[in-house]
Amino acid sequence: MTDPMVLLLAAPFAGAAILYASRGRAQRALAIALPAFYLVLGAAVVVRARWHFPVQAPLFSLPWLDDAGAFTLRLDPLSSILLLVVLIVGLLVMAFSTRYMGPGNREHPIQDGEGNHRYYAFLSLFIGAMVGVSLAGNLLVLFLFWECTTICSWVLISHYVHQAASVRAGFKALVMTHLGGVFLVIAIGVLFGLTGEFSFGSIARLEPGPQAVVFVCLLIAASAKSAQVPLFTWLPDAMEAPTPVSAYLHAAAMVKAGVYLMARVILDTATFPHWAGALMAALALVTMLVGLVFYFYQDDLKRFLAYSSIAQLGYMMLGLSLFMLGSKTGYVAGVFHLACHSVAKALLFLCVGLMAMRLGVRSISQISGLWSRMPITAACFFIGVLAVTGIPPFSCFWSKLTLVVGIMELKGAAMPLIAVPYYLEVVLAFFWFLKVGQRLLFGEPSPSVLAIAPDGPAEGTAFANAVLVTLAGLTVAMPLIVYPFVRSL
Amino acid sequence: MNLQMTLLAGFAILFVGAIVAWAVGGRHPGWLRAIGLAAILAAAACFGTVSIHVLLATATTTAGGTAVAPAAALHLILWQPSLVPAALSIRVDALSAFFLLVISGLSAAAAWFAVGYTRGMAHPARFYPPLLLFVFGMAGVVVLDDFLFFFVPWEFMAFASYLLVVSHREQAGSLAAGFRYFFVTHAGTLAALFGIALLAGAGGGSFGFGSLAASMPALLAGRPGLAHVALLLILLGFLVKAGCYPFGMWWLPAAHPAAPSPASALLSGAMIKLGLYGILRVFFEIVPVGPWSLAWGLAIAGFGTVSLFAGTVTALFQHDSKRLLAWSSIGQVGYMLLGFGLALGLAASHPGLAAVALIGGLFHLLNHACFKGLLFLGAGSFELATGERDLDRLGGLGAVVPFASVAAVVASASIAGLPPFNGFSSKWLLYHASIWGSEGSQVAFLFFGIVSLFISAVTLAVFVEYLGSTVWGPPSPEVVRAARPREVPWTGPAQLVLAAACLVLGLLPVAGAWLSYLAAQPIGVAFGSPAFASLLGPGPLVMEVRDGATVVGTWSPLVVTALLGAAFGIALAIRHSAGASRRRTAAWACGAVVEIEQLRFKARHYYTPFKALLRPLVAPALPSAWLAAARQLRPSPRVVTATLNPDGWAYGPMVSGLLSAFRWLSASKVGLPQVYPAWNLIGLVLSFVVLFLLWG
Repeated sequence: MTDPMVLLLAAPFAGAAILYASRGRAQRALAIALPAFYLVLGAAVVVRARWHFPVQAPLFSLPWLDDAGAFTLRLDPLSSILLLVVLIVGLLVMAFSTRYMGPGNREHPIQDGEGNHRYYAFLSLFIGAMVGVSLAGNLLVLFLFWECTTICSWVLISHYVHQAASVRAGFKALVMTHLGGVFLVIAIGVLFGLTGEFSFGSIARLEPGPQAVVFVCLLIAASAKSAQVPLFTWLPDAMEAPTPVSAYLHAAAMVKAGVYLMARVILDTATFPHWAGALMAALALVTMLVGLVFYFYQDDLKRFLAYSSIAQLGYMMLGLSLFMLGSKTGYVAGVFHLACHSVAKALLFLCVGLMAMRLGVRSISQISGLWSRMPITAACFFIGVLAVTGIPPFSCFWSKLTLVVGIMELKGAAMPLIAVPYYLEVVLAFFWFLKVGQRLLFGEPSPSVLAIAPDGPAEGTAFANAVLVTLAGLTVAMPLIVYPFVRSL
Repeated sequence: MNLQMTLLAGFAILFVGAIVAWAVGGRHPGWLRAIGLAAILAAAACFGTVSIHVLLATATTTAGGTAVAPAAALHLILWQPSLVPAALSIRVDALSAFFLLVISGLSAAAAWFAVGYTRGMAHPARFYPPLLLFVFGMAGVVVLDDFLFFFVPWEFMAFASYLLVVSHREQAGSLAAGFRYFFVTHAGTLAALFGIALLAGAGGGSFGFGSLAASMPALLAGRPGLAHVALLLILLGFLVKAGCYPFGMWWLPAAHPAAPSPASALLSGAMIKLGLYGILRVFFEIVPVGPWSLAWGLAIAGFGTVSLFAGTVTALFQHDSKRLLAWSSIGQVGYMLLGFGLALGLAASHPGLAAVALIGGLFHLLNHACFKGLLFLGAGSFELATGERDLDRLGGLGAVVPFASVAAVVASASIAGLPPFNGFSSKWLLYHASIWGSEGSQVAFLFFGIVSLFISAVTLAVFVEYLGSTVWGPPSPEVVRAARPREVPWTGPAQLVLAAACLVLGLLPVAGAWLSYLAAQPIGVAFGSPAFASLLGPGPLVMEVRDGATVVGTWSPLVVTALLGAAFGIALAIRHSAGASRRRTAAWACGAVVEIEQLRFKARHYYTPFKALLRPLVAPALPSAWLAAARQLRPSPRVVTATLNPDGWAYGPMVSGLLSAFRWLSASKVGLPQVYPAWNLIGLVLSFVVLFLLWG
């Protein structure tokens, strides 16, 4: 009897093969049914393991590596959070894609499903890779799936292969995130060389010197993956990808892998020195402020959201770093924010996708007053704005509230040094988000908006709106869904 | 049904009502109005029942005795998360009950008024759902007993009221006002949240009011700097919401006029008071009385005095009816802050006067809810009747909307502090506290008192201008054109009820002071818990201010009213006996023939010399000049992105350097391709040899 965790891991990979082979209506149906199946499976695994975390399962064994406990899967509250986020958002993004990747898309019309088999297959593959990242029982397994996500990201960013910009952006993302992967390999090598193990917890047994090397290497790897300073420039360029890909990989899931890596390592090691926390917090704060400055110069909605993602990932890193500075609450807030931000940002991206699909443009200066033509989409976008900026009862309010409590638990000079830039970021981000959201929702309708038929049911709009409304509901529900896991961290 | 269920039912009714109203939408405006009115009235009944019950219970525990039993309260813990040291707990003590009473009473009047008012609105569906959520949020703020969860309804309220402010979004400036409102108050809220979290984090306790209060003495003794920075953040944060000058000027004069009038009435009559509620909870309940009380008292009273001066004086210059009222709200909030600051500053030296000042502040808060709510409803009536808010184009409305005009006169008399209306009684208490309490280092309070006395006169001037350019005088062309609207049964009665409240509280000031005294019970423990009779006089009809055992002032509104009435009667009798007849004739313009319109005395013609004198003191109403300057400062996108984007100065050069290095290396690869693998092979072998020699 195969362990359900192994089954859960295998399913998306098998699904990728099926999707690659399928065409037409069957493909669209499968693109919804398969991720729904993964989600049901994942939910079953999590619910089954709910009362006896952590659950372990061997994946397979290599005789010469068995001493290192090489290939195992593990499910605990932290991995459950990432797993649920990946599967829930994955289903919604795949469902949205079935309408987005079609001939009715005015921005990128796709005739006869050209390239869609590759698109769906790699999305499914990506889900599998993220499931692998979240279930990884040690650093080696995590690394395998980590690089797998990098490759999926490269393929999916470059999906519009006839556009030079897409290909270039994909390559850039590949190089920069792979550079992070190299540092991950170095960290794993040092760890294995000195302790003979791959497990996350074994970092605690290192001498201070090597531990510092491992920590810094892991931090660089995570920064590259989560688009933190200095390796953040690939993310805005990656907006050349199809919008559902941006929503999923570059807002909800893949960029969270870096946060997850740090969360996992910090939780299992728990002995990193104070300076490590200070370094991580400083990087996070710089990232937040750099992201903030870039907000104000974006006209492309997707690039705007990308910089917001960079800054929000900075919040999460900041929260995690508070663990080393003495606040467990801050750490929990960072993980909580991971889940809360995922749904909110995915919602925003998918709304922009639907706007671009119907209007053919996605620039802030060309879209306003959507309420008159696409009220549901516009309202969902506004909910996303409130959710990301933290207005109750929407998701990020709760995580940011927890983060404030965590910051204020700090002692000494760290508290004001973190609190002041954090306050600045939150207030100014709210300023810009509200301005954009208000303009899009309530402003004077722009010519591009007036050009589309009022309430005209364009191809797939109703279904796509249903996806958006579901996500909007999740911005309220997600904190409740992940709360049991966050609580037991 | 017990009290807790009644309270929760109030919230449930509002929430479900909002959803139902949203579902009904604009298709059935009649149903929408019915649902909105029914939900608010039912919820107000629930909240009113709870608050009256709690106030009565407080009254019985404090009646007669000098010692105060622990204030009666309703307590209910809904949820205790393990993530943060906070609890979603509801606790309605007398202070909460007082605010709940203000909120429910005013929202019931506003909802009643709104049934008539929304007939003139193009989109009532934009109005009702947020209105219900707004009331939900306000009531939620005052019943929570935990300062972390406090911010949940608080921000929810801000969001709902933002939707109300932008509900006339076709009108120019409406969106900008909404944006300004939401952004400025959000920034203030975050400051307050940071301050509270700092207190809780440094104190090591939980966010419960009781726990914060328990940890406060040790924190103030151990880490005074940190504690006072946190208190300053909290004060500034709540002052933003309270609309205190200068923070209020950034949002309040824009947001209040933009909102529909019933919403403006609630914004100004109830919501900005919640900022004061936060200040009361923190500075009177959580912070113990100590050497710092005088400094904080001076700071709060100082903010109040600046606010009452600047707000009222700027109101004099306004030509938009609701904008004038909004500026006047900034001024009136100053009176309440002055009262609270006096109470804090005098707590150590004159506990009796401090209690009087606190009662005066709370009483003025109650009064302001009545008369400012009424004034905004009145401005709404005028707008409904004429479509105008420009004071220069109004006039002579007394004949068009008689109920609203009577109500506006009552409200103006009240806000200006004319006896026997309610504004006089509360201000009278404040003057007494500021004058009798000022000695030694507290002489600043005397100055504050004198400024507030002067500003009371300016308030009268503002409202004479307001009444003169709306209710009185010959009708303007706009008013003449206006159709005669029906005020009964909706807009008129709602205003008359509030006007009656103003009059009753003015004639029986002891009733209002007694309510305020009860409200002060949970937070006034520091003043030695004096009995009401030892503070404010002997009986229900006469109010006496006492400092210790000496009576320092007496106010008997019924006697004064009787005397005034008698004097008025005598004047009438004299006029009648003289047999002088009134002569109506055209105005004399030195013989020139002019239009009546040119002779009309408009808002901008009032007090021109006085205004010229004050003009330099009036700050620009909106910091648009600053914003323009900030825009100038914004560096060009190219500079910023080039500096902050490492693609340009780090990765790009690095990659091109690498590429040219590879090209340079590849220049060595000339000749047969088969030779390169041979070189590689030789290199590999050599490496192995070296490794073998090293470690072999």
